Amino acid sequence: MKHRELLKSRASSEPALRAPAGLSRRRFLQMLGVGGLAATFADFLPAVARSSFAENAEPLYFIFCTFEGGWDQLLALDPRDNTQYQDAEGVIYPAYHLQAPNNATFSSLLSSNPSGLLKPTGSNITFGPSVGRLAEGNLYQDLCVIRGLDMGTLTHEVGRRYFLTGKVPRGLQASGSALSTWMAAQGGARTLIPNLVVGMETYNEGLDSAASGLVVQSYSDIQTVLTALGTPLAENVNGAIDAYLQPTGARCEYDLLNGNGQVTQYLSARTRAVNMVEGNLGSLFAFTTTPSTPELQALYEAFHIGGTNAQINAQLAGGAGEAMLAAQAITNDLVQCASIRLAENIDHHDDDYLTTHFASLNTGFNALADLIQYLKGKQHPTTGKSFWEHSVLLVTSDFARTPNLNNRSGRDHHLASSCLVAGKGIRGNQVIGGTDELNFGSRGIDLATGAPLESGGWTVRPSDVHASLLDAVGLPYDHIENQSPQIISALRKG
Amino acid sequence: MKTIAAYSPLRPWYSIVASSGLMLTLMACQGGSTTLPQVEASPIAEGVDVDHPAVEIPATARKTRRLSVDQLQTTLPVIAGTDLQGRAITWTVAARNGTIEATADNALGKTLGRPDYVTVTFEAAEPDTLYLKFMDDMARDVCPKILDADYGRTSAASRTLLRFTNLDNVSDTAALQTNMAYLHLRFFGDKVTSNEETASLMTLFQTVVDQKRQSKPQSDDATLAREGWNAVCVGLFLSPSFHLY
Repeated sequence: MKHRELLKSRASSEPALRAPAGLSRRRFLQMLGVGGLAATFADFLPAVARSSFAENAEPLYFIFCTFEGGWDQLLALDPRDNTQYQDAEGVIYPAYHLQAPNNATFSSLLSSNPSGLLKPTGSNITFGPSVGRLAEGNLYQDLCVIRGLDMGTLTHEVGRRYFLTGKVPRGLQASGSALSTWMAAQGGARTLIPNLVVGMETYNEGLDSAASGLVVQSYSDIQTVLTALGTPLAENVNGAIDAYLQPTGARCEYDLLNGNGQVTQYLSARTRAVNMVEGNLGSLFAFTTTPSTPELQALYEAFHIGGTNAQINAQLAGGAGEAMLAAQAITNDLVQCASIRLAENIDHHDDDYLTTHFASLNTGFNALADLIQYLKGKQHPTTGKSFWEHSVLLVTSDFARTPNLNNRSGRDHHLASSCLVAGKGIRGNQVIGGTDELNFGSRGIDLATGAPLESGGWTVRPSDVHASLLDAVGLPYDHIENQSPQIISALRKG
Repeated sequence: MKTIAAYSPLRPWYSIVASSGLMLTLMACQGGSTTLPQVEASPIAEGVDVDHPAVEIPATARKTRRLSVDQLQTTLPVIAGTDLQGRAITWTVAARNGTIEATADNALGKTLGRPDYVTVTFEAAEPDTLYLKFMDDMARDVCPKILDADYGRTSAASRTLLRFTNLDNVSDTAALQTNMAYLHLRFFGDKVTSNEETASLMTLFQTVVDQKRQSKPQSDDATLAREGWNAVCVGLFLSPSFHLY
């Protein structure tokens, strides 16, 4: 009997500590038909874990993107006309003209468009100069920008963890589960890796362990994760070892250790780990300076990865590489949720802001645009719709940066930030909320229309964004009820 | 009446006068009464009587934990012993210039979850899929190294895995069981009291030996034994009892 089949038959026959739910004949035959594609966790999770998604429900993919370090909204999602805000001592000073000489792309843009603002024809959204390809074509039709988002903190870890979980952290300690973990759990942890996290934190507080984020640092890590290292054991030896690990006979030490279900969790995770390395899935992430297959070559072209070896390696290590990793993982139905960093180390308090910040944001937004376009161009094998039609996206940062320059020509931390929401269930081509002219502070909004108000209204927080996003895709948000989230009904499509 | 202050030979005269004056003032404020003010203390909750019998409180154990990456890194060389050159055996992975310790940060340490205290400040230490995948890799890397060393040592006392059995023993059940008990103690820190507790390990060993004998009948006993002990070693490293405590 093959090793994987033995695991499954044992999973269905062993009492007490076994992974429940045996393999249905239909599912087994499907797996045989898909060749090397490994089994999914859904075969081994109890029915209670599959809450909102029945076996035949449409797949939902969630992509969480972060610009790590605090992004400047004047360059990105809440810009101002550079020709109108020229006072260096003023409250709001975009200073595009000070940055442009340091970047060829910015310089070219500003010379033909002195305002620095990007507003595609038909778009209700005005973007800042750094958004690059995100402002091209009709991508705007899918995007919803939320401005004047009150982060409530100027501490990196707090802002980051707040937006990860939708709950205000306890001090520096994250509270609750990451949104991607929640989404993976709601989706029944259907895929081989329900929740992939690249280079950032992830949290699971009380949800099924199968939904926990699998954290890798880079594309080479995920190759390592999907490939058994070293010399494999013979099939029969694997089978004998798996039989030994099962809780049969006098295994009182298992009983002692299983008080909080850790042994059960351990054995379930072992089953998933074994399945994860079967099949040649690591080859999907063989991102080298020379793509080895036509499929990988097409992927590189879609994400504009090319040039010298040094340039390619830099691109692979940055936002483009992580976006490409997410695209490959989603379009091969390996993951349900992917959390990636589109930019890192953008906490530019000093004059490196003038030389570096635009480029960092530009690279990240270009990668984001390429990711959306790629998902739009790929058809899901079972539904016939594009992967984008099954995806929902959230783009955030720790917080924003001050609207004026400090005395070192950099920008410090600022409370009123923005975020970007797009995809399934989200009404695109709109801006929700805004910031005032007095001090670039958050303005309250009308929750029904999303319009910013001169006074009063509701100041949007990360909790509200989380709840509204989940509501828009038809998922519950009970886990953040203690944050008293308000639903921004303007966010909802239809 | 002499005050206490008058008996202190080190106190200057003006201190004695000040203290006496303060006492006289306090006495005057109380209208000449020497009764100290009473403090009213309200009880916070009902307490139990002093002679109340013992109260039964259900005992709760602490939560089971998984080894941290640091603990794993420290434990492996202790369990695995040394190679024939006297170097500690541990889990290594391929690197640009040879091999590198797998649990190092520049190998798989961060991937396994060791915090860098820059972006990640907390180690979840859960037995998750990623950890189990790499522990499988670890066991298959470390066990052959231990056996290479054992099969190069003629003295049983110097061997790591095969301490109480011969290198070619596949039939002396008593010696096999003694060795299993030793390994149970070495890997899990748990002394077994009966052969029943190591029955599953014996089954693992015997199953692998029998299967090897069937597939390669020409194999000698040393080869059969090595195959069996490799499986036992991998099984021990993959057991929840090794990683959870």
